[in-house]
Amino acid sequence: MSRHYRARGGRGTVHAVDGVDLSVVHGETLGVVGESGCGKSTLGRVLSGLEPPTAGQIRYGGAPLPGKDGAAFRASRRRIQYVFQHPLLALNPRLTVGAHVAEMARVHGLAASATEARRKAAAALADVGLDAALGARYPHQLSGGQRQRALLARSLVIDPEFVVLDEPTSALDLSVQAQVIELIGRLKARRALTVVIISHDLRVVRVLSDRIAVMYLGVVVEIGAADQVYHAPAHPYAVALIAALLRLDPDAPRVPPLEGEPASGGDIPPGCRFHPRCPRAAAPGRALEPPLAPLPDGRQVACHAVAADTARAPWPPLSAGAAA
Amino acid sequence: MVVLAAFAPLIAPYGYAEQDLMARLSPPSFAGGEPGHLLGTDHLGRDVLSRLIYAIRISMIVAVLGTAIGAIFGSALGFLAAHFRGVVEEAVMGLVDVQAAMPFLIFALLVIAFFGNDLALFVVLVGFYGWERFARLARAVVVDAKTRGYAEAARAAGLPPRRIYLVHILPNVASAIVVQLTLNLPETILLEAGLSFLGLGIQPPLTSLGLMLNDSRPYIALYWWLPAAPGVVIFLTTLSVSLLGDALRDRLDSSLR
Repeated sequence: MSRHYRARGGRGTVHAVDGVDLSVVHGETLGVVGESGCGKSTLGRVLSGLEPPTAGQIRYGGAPLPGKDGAAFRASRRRIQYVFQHPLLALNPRLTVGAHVAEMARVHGLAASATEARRKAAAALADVGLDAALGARYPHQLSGGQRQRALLARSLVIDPEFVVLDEPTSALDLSVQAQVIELIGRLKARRALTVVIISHDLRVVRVLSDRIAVMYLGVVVEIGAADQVYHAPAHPYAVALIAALLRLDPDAPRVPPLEGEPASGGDIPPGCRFHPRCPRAAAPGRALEPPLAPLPDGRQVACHAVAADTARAPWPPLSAGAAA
Repeated sequence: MVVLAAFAPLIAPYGYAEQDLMARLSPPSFAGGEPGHLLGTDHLGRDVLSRLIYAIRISMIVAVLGTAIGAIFGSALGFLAAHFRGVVEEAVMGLVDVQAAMPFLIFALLVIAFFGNDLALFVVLVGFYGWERFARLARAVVVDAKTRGYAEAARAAGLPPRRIYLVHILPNVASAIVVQLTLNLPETILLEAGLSFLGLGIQPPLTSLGLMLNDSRPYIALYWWLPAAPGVVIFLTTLSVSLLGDALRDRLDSSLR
């Protein structure tokens, strides 16, 4: 079975997401990385149907997603869940976390009685490693990691097919991040979930994803198998992003950090939107926006320079740090 | 006051209409009056203390029910305005502005003049006093709450709007509305007293705090206890409800983190 999601468009004159065409296959995990403001959260919201695309459409299992609100939208939430970025904001301060989870089971028709809903909630909380006693607590009485788990339980109690996780670890301490990452890995393996993970943290995405999409200013500049993108990035932006990670490897090639600030979605440079900061920028990048073109190894990269490399030497792609 | 109001018939030493014409205008017993009448008697020989206790009961009923009607009606309109926005919101807020611009006393006089007077109508009428404040407040807090993460997350989770409003937003905005409630209650007591004083409120032989004040008007110069008793009670009741409101606000605000 294959599923296709297509998102195309942006919002208003700020092109948060500006012509992204991607599909997520049933059962896979796609990681979306990029710096703040590159439109990755917007992509996630549009993908999961929370916001309608300005242009283009999102197809879920062949059918377009229902528009905003209404009964069809609510019914679609049974299969598609979006897990918000800040657990403390996304949980109601006046409800216990157990009530949040039980409510989901009840509203989506998975529990005929309040007792059954509570039982389901306790099971879902246990699933994410939360003690039943913690279900009686209010969100502000929990630690950051516990809140993140509770938020996951709220979405997973209804056994959705597709989950978008928006920065699932950004609100957490480093040690707790590792636990939550491990938890997400376990949960998705057991449930055959289709997942999109949005994060600015490449390491989080790499551990959990089958494929990685690198976004810059509202477009996907590189997408491919997680190991390819992580170990041998092709797009100059992806190269810089990965080189910016701290790595305990004295032999790793040194890539100079990027100059300048990213432009905003309201003021996108003409041509290749990365060219003002690109170490490999040349004439074509100033004039023409590069298309997302396939490389011989299967991934897709939107870069004139990489396309020229590939034309000259089909394999391997010439890029810094090419040591997969 | 609440206890007095609830158990008036048990506490009051005499019936509210019971007359003792032989003991008319007796001063309070501590000021040299008859020992049986703690706060003295009025011009018809009725026990002031007993009438006062019944008056508290009536005034409380009118004020509490009236405020509740105003709070529910106004808050519901405010929620509707915040939910639908657009035309509905403009209509509700327009109505609010009209109500706010109209002196309520004139409005009340008009309604009573047209429909006559009975207790139920009077309670409803008093209920309309202040609804516009609840509407305005509820609209503002709900519009604000809708932008909070939890409301957005509840929508994203697939919860129906009614549930989002009642289970998620209402408990979070209730504290503001409750505080407004305690601000409005004393005003409603005063409104009842004012209308009754004008003879438009509670009708004899029933009594209320305002009516007692009105009845005592001709006797102020000689028989001070007649206006003093209901006056002090009005003062104490409104003051204590206001203080309660203050305490409630402090309590509700600090309960969050």
